[in-house]
Amino acid sequence: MEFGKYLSHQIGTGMKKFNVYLLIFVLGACSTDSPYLTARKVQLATPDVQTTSIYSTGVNKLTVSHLAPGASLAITHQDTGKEFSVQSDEAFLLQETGLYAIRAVQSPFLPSETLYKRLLPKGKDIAQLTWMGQAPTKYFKGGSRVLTDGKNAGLSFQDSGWTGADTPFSIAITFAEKTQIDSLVLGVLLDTGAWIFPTAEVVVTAMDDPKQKTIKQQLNTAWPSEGPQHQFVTLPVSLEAKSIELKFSPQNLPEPHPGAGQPAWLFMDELIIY
Amino acid sequence: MATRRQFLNTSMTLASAAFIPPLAWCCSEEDPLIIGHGDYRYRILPDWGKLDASEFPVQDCHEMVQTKNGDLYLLTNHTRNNVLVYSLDGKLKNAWGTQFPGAHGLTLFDENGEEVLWITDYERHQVFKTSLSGEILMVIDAPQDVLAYKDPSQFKPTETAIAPDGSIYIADGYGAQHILQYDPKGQLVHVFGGYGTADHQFQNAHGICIDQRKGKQPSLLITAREQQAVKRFSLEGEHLQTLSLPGAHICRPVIHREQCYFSVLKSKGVGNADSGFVLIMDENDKVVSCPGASFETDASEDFLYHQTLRVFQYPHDVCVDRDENLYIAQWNSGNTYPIKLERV
Repeated sequence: MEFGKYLSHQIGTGMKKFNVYLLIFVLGACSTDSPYLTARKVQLATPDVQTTSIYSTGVNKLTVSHLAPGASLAITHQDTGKEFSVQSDEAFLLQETGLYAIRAVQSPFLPSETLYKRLLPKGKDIAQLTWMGQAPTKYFKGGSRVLTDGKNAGLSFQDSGWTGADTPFSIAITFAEKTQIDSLVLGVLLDTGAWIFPTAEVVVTAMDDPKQKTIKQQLNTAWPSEGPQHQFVTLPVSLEAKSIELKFSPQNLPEPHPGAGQPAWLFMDELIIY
Repeated sequence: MATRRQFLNTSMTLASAAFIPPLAWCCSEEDPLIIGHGDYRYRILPDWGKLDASEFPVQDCHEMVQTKNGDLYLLTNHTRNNVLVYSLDGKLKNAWGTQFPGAHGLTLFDENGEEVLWITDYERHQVFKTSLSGEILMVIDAPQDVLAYKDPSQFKPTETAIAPDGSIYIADGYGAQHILQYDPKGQLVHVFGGYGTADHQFQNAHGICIDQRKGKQPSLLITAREQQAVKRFSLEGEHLQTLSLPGAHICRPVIHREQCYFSVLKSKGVGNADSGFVLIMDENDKVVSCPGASFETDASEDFLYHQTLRVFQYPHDVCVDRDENLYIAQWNSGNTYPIKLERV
């Protein structure tokens, strides 16, 4: 075929193809009720985000796994509104105390569920933590140390980082020297489906100074609107002591739980004293 | 003559060409999402099997099979209609069954030209052979001469597989984790497996099928869902091989042509519990696609399979039709009907 004819043939063929493409495009563009699922209606899976510690002191590295390829993490420091973007292969250091909201993002997909990580200031140094009487038998896999190891337990109550009980228990805490105690922060699990709800009476007693009054507090949290949550609750205390006793008495499940009136399980991690 | 796949590939090329830049901007977010990898990629039809729930309700959609005439049979544990029969276009053709509260496993077998269904019911602790219209042809009860089943309620069968000679294999995946072999008349022949972590044992022997691919000696593929593995046994019950799929809680193996398809109920480690996906292996037991999940072409042994997109909740079975489209039945997913994945 001559080059001129060949060129004319190719242009003709090309125009026909273009017309076909254009027709398909127009038909596609006019179609508003496609039966197919589109990307922007699909949510990214929730990644697994871990931090080295729950404290803002020292090097606190955030690591992520189970992130969709091409997705990144959008991190917002709730207290200041600062926003950060972290790629999957990047290391990210958390430096400020407060609540971080974290989710996976990738256009055009819907962002993943939001995860929350709270970084707390370091508490008083605890010289010794001991159980007074029988320690919980079932949910005590990590032993005493996990209550003050600075690491978050996972959201499953079976994670060895949790200490759980549905009957009263007591803990003795000893400092190196007489210490002013202003407050107690308790990390607690809310998992109502597993009858885990932090409703308890907490009694704090100075063991080495019987003249000081015993402080009684009620541990309560708002009813959770979604799945398992790890919350931190602050209980004000005003004591000066070298040793204190913390007595926890789990109470009954409140309304509207289907097991209302039955004993609630109290799961703790972690215990911080300021 | 062009094959169907060639025709589809040509159509896809034309369709893709229609959205080449700079025209892509107006439709990119509205284009069908395509999931999967390599040659196994799919568009998603979420409403394919949707019915009027007030008339034809479902609870858990446990399993699906396709009969010779192309109809798709769905098994649900809703006793208003345990079996829903769909045509390929997602229209309901028939509904039957009110007696299977623990309807779980659905296996199709061609018995000398006549197709029959095998239904396991873990609440009734029985296995049923039925006609395609629901007539009960045989019932297998808990084998009380087996020590583990002195109490019949310990028999919680999840799946059956029928060998070419008619031998019946029952996986007791919610019970004592045994695999029970019966002759075609329903007489117990052999028991193997059991609960444990040894090669020949199971933690959740959930699904079972006969593997006759590539003219090999027929063998059994049995999933150990909690162990995230599939195990191969001889028809006599000898353990031959364990294939590990870290992170993937696989339900049952489904062999179609040279591939083996798995619905994955959930992923290990993902933040949302409803973290299922689909996994496809080729004839060499190599994972070739994971619609809705992470994938590597040459994954190392410890590569973690996990959901990346929340397309599915808890997939419980995958049915492959003759055009290699997939139908995903889901457990505990808000009484939803099966999703169709249209192969591209």
